[in-house]
Amino acid sequence: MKTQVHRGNDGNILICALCTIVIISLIGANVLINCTRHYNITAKQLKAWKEALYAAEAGGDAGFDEVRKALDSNNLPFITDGWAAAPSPAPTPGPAWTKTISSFGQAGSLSTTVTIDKLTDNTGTIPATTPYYRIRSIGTARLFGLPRVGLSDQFFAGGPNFVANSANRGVGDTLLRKIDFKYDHFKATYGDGDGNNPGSLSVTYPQITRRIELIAVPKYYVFGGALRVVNAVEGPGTAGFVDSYNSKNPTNPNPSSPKVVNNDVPGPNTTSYYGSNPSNSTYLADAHDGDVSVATKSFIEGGPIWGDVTTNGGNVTHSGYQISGTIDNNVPFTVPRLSAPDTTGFVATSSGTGTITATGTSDSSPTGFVCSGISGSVTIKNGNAASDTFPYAYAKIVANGHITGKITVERGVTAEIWFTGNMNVKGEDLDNQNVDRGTQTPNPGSVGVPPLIPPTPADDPNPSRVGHMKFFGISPTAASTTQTIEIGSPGNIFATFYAPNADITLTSNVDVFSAIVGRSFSGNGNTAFHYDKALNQVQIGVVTDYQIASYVEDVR
Amino acid sequence: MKPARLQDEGFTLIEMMLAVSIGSLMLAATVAASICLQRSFNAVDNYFASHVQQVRIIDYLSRDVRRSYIVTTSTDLQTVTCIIPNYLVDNGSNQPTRATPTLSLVGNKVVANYQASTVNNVTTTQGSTSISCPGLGLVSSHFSNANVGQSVVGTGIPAGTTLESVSNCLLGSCSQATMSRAASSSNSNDSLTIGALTNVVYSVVNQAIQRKENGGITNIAASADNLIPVTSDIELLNTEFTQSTVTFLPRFARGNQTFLNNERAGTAVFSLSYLRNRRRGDG
Repeated sequence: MKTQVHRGNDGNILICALCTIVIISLIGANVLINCTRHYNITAKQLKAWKEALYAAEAGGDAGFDEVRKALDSNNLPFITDGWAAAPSPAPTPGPAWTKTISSFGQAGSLSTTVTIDKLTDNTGTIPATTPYYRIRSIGTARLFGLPRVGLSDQFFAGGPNFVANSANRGVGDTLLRKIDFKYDHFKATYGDGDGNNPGSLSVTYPQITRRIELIAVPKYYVFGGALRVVNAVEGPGTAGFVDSYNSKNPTNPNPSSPKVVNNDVPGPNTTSYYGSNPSNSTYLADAHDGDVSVATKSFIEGGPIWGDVTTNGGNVTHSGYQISGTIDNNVPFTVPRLSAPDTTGFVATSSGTGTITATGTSDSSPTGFVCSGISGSVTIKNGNAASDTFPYAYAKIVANGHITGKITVERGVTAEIWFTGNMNVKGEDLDNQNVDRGTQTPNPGSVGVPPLIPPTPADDPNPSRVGHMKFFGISPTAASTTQTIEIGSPGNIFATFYAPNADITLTSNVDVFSAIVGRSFSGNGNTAFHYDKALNQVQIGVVTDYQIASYVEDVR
Repeated sequence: MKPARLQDEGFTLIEMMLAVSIGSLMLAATVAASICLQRSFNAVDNYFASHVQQVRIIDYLSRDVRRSYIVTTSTDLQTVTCIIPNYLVDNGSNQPTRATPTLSLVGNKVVANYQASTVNNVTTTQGSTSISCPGLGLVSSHFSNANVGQSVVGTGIPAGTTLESVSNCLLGSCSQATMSRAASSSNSNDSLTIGALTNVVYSVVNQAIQRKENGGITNIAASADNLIPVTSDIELLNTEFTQSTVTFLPRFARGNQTFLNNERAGTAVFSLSYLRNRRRGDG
C-alpha cells in the first residue's frame, strides 16, 4: 500500500490572506469609529446644540410676548396660558412667573422653560412706577445618536479656559457644548443660576441645555412712522401722498432747491421738507420713511406712500398699491389707552380763551393749565423769551372738553394739548409759529432797555417745528366710546396727534406735517402727509410698548 | 512493502522565477493597496477631525458675536475682537453668579448694562486720548473714579481701550477722562459704555485658532489641515453683523495652487451672526 504524503502550502496562503484582511479591517474599523465619532459630534451634537438655542429663543419670544400684554388692561399678563408664580430669591427678589413649553421639535425632543422677573429701576432712567422685565429662558434639546461618544480633546488640558469651573468639567467640546449625559451639570453646580439650591439632578436622556437672558424695557416714544392706526386706514387720496423728511438735517445749501410747500410758510428754513424725491441725496435719504401701519386688514390707498406699510391680515401688494418700501401683512400691534394726566397744581383758565404764558424749562416740568375746552382763541406765549441761557418754554394744557377754537403757539414754545372731547378745526386754527432747528431771533429792544432776546441765543433743543405742537386725545372712560378729530382747509398743519381712541379725518387741500397715532385715519382729496423723522424721539411719559434692550447667553 | 516514492521533483528555474514574480507582484499590490487604503482612511479621518474643529470655531465665534456690544476685525480678517457684556460675577468661589442689570439712556433708547454704565454726550477727538462730557450741571451721566482701569467702548474707540484717569471732578462726577488709546474718529455726541467688559480675541497662532478671553487662552481648534478663519464685520446704519468663513486644506489634496485653492474652497463653512447688543453711537 502506498501512502501519499501531501505537503502543500495552502494553509500559509490562507493565513496570510486572513492576516491581510484583518489588518485592513482593523484600519478601516478604526477609521470608521473615528468618523462615526466625528459625525456624531458634527451632526447629532451640533444639531442638539443649535436646537437648544432655538428652543431657548422660542421661550424668550413667548416671554416677551407675555410681557407686552402689560399694555392691554383687558388682557393682563401672567394669568392664563400656563403661566404660574415662581420663586424669586436673592439677589433680585420680587414677583416672578414661569411657564414650560415641552415636547416640540423632532419626536418632542425640545422643551423650554421661561422665567420672568419683574424689576424696578432705581437709577432714574425710567420711572420707578414702571417695571421692566428680565426674561430668562432655558432651552433643552435631547441628544440623539450614540450617547457615550467621546469628545474631541484638542483643548489645552488644565489650561485657563473661559468657564470658571472648567477644570472640573474637563476639556474638549464640553467647554462649548456642555452635554449632560447623566446629570444636569448646571443645576448641580449653580442651582438656579444665582447659587441657590444646587444639587444633582439626573436627566432622562443625554441632553444639551442653553440659557439666554433678555431684558425687556418700556418704550416711551410714540411716533416711529407717519401713521400708526388701530382700526382702519383710508388714505391718502388719489391726489395726495405720504412721504417724510428730517428736521434735524442741516438746511439745504441750495436756496433754489424747490420746496413743494410754499403756502403758510412765513419764511425760509421753516421746515426741512424738500419733496418726495429731492435731487439732493442727503434729503432723498430721509424722504422715503413715511411708514404706515394698521393693526387690521383694513387698508385703502389712493395716492403713493413713500415708506413701508404693515397690516394685520391685509392683502397689500406692490403691484396693487403705490408703495415704495417694504410691505408686511402680518404685523399685529396694540396701542394702549391714554389716561388723563394728573393736573394737580395746574392753573385753571376759562374756556381756554385768551393768552397764557409758559415758563416751564423742560418737557418733564412744563407750565400746566387746565380748562373746560378750547372754543375761542388761545395764545401760548413764551415766558422765557428774554432768558440769556434758555429762551424756550414748555406748556401742558388739559382741556376737559372739545377743541373747536384757534390755538397759537409762539416761537420757542413746546406745547402739549391734552383733550377729552372731540376736535373740529381748520388747519389755520392750529397756528404753530416755530421753525425747524429754531433759534430765537435776537431782539435788542430799545435804547436804555435790556435786550428782550440775547444776541446769540442757544439753539432750541427741540429741532422739529411739528414737535412743538402736540395733541393728545385722552381715551374716553367708556370703552366703546370714540373721539373724533376733524381738520379741514384752509391752512396747513404743523402738529402731532396721539389719540388711540380717535377717528381722525383730514379733508381738502391741506399739507400735513405730522405724525399720527389713532383709532382710524381718513385723508381724502389731495391731502399730502409729511412725516418728520425727528419725531421718533417724542416721548409722552406713557409706555407704548416694550423692547428688548439686552441679550446675553449664560455660557456656564 | 515498497515505500511510496516521494514526488520531490523541484520546480524548474523558469517556474520558480515566474512564481516569485507573480507572488511579488501580488504582494506589492497588496502592500500598495494597504498603504493607499490607510492613507485614504487617514485623510478621511483628518478631514472629519478638521471639520469638527471648523464647526467649533464657527460656533464659538457666532455665540460671541451674537452677545457682543462691538465686534472689530483686523485688516487680514483673521483676528476678531468682541466686546461682550460681563454677565457673570466672579465671587471667588469658582462658581460665578449672574449680574443684575442696570438701565441707562442712550439717546431716546433704554439700554441694559451688566457691571457697566453709560456716559452720554461724550466728545472724542481723532488722534487724542482725551474725552469729555458736558458740564456737571447739564447731564446726569459722567465719568467717575470707579471707571479708572475699566474698559470703554463706543464709536471711534479702539477695541481694548481702558480709562486711565479722570479729572475735573465734583462730588465724584467727572467731566474729563483720558483713555489708554487714541480715538480713531471725532464725535461730539458719543455714548460710551464703561465697565468690567469682557474682551474676547480670536486669532491664528501657528496652526491653532486661539480664543483669548480677557487674556486667558482657550485653544478652540488646532489642526494640521491648516484651518483659516476669515471674518468680515458689516456695520450698517441701524444694525451690524459678521460674516465668517472657515476653510481648511485637506491632506489628500495634491496639485498646483489653483487646484489647492479649489480644494480649500470646497471645505468652506459659512456663518452669519447679528450683534444683539449693538453699541455703536446710537446704542
